[in-house]
Amino acid sequence: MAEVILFTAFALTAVAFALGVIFRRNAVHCALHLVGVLLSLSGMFVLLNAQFIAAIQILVYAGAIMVLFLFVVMLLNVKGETPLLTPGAAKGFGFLFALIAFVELLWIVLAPGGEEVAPPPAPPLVPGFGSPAAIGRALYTTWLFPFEVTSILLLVAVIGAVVLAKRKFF
Amino acid sequence: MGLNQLWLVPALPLLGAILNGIAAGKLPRKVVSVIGVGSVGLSLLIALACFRELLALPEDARRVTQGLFTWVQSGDFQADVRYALDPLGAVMMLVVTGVGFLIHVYSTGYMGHEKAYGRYFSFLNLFTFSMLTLVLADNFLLMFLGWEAVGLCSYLLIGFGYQRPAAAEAGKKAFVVNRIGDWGFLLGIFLIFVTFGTLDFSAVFAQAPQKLAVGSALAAAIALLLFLGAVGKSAQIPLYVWLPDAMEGPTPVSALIHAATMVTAGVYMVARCHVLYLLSPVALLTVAIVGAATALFAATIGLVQNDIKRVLAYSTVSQLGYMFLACGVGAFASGIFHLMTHAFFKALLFLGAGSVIHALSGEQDLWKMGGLKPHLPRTHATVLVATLAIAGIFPFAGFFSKDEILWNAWLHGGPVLWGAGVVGAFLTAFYMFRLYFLTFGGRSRVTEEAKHHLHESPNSMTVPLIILAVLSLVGGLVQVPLLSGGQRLDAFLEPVFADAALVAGTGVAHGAASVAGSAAAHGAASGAAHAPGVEITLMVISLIVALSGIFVAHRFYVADPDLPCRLAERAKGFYRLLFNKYWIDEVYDSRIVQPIYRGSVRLWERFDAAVIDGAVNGVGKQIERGAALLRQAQTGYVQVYALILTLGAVVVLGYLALR
Amino acid sequence: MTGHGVPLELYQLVAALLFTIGLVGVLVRRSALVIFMSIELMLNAVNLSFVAFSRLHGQMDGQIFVFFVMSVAAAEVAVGLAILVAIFRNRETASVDDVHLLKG
Repeated sequence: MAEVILFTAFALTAVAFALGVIFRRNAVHCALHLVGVLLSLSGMFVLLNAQFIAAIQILVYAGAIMVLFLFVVMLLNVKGETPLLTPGAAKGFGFLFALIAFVELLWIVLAPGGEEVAPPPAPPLVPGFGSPAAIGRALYTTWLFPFEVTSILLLVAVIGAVVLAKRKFF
Repeated sequence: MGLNQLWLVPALPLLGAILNGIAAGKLPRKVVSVIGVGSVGLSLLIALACFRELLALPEDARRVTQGLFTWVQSGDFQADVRYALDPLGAVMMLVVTGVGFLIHVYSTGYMGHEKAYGRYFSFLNLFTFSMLTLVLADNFLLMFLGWEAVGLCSYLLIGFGYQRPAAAEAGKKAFVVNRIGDWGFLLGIFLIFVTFGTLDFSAVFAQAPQKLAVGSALAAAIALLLFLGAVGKSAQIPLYVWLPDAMEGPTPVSALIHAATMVTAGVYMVARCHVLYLLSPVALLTVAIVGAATALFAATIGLVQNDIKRVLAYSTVSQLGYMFLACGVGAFASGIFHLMTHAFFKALLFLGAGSVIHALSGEQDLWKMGGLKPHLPRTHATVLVATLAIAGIFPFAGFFSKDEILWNAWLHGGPVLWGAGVVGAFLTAFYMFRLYFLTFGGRSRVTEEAKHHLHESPNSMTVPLIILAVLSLVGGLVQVPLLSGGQRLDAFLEPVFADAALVAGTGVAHGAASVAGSAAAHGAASGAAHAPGVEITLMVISLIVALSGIFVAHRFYVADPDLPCRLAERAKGFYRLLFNKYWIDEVYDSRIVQPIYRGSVRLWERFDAAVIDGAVNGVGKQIERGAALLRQAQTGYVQVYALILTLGAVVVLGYLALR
Repeated sequence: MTGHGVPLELYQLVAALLFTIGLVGVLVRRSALVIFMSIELMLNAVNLSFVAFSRLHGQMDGQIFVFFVMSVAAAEVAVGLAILVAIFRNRETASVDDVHLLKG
């Protein structure tokens, strides 16, 4: 029962903060709302036995990435946006498409299984599911190659960021 | 070092060509010389070692092959890069590397002031590689590679001074005329493959007597198509027109490519394929007639030319005719013998001419020379040796080889072919001594400016001259007629041409193959069967003919210098016919080149420009128009793109939801 | 069922809702910064979905995927913000409808 209560609380805060992200005028406020969403999700991760992911969600996402966001927001010091939303038909189409997409997603998620067989009962969780040790083992055995490729991706990103920041473009 | 390193013989010059080619003039001249001359020199040493090992083998085992890698494989067809050394190939290999080496050395002196020194040596090495590939190839395809590559090198070197339009034109002409011959050669190769299913020499020649009937149309077609290739490469009637123009190239190139080696490739090829020719008496007769006709025809043109190199060029065409005459009467060994001696004395003549031209600061007109004997002692002495050799004076190399050809022509070809050869010999003696007297004898007609720079050439040029002069002097002694055991070249080449006897054995029944039959019998039982009296008589006749040619030349150009002019006045029409080379170039131009040119222009304007270009450009224009329309959708606003992206996602999701 | 009371569908519902909110943000906001944040929101919605499925099947591959998504997000943010800074330095704007360079 405690899980249900916690889930409900996290879900509500996450959605509420999410709406704040897209409708607050001040970019700093938007960023702080995003931090709220990230924290709520981190809570849900714990409920789903993903303790390690929850931890790096807070450390990396809410910590490092969001600091970067805030840093840029304050560096650019954009004056209050007027108007807030895109002018013209693009805005209307945006809302419309998003609504259709949402309905379709709901349809897919909530539609009765149909002729499909009911999902098999969840297998009992192995001990240490979602722990750093288990993640690390999977990451350095099965997923070693993608893991190494990721390091190259990050290197490229670092170089790209440096080059973009140093030269004059656009 | 020996037969296991056979592949190095062609590979080293290729390496030299690549090194000098890549360096592209960045290397100092000394290094270029060391690479260019050294690679051919090493190649010569290995070739000599291979030759020694070949001699050590028992006679019937003197055919060594060395496969490097499979070049082409497709279905049943396979062609290897495989080199083979047999007595015939060995003679050619030694001529190419030996004369080639001397000419490389000579070039370091002659081309010393040339700007594109590295390019020159790169091409010359590439040529050596190609020619060695041609003569050492073990199948028709590899031989064709060498065949085409020497053609390319010839083109590159004729057009070496491409800034001069004449040189560029001459290179183009050589290339195009050669293509006509190559077309025939290639068709011949196709026909061989269709008939035999393989292109390996040993397999084709072993199967030929079974698969081809003597005198059959197929045998004649193969032999004649191959001969068309030989006609192009070896400058015979009617495709000889490129060789005189090829004299636009540097003189050492004329010596190496357009006298000593490349132009003899046709003779080598005919000798190599002698089995096929012996199976077709028609083809053999064609070879003999074309050879004799060319020998005579080119000699007459040579009588009146005034450019020292052009005289030599027509002389080369004529001498090649002799070689084909020998092959045509079935005396392949004699053809190869003349090929070898000719390589020595003709290379010497060209290099001597080069030395003269060098001394006269580029003058090539015989009428602006004369009296050079005291100024160029070494050049004079060596050129005199070569002139005596080509005129066929005993005991110079040319005497033995030319006499053997005439003897075989008499024996197997009849008095007509022999007569053509003898007249040709008289003309040869005449025009060669005309050249000699005009250059070295008589009064000096050298211009004042050229006289100022008159000097004997450096050692790098005269030493090769001397070596070649020695070879021209003693080269004939490998094949002394009449003496028992004197025909050492015949004996050496015998294993190669021995199968000729086999072919002839099957062919004797047919009367048509009698020419081939007796030829093969000659190869097998050399010497002993001849009637010595007849041979000696013929020998004396040809010697007298040659001496009278020299005498007439002396009378014309030394004793009574006005005589030629008076004669030319009196026989004006004939003189002009000869001087203008029978107007063959003009006839070819108006009858063949111009119609093709006009037809091509018409095709280009009516078909290429209108239909092909129209179609291509039309398609392009339509795409351009469509693209201009579609480009309207590209606004450049990132959010519009995101919107369209979302639309796509919505569609996909809708499909998933409603499935 | 996830095995402890909260049905999987509810997690998916929350994920869908967050994704849609992010999508709206991307499509209608003018500020490039906020658009970036909305993209992060969408990525996180997907992450939630991954983790929920991972729990359902008792397999950790989903969590590993989340890990990779985070790495890619970090790279994307670094480069994206660098571009943003560069544009702002030259054009004094961070609004996407002021910039239309993305065309041939």
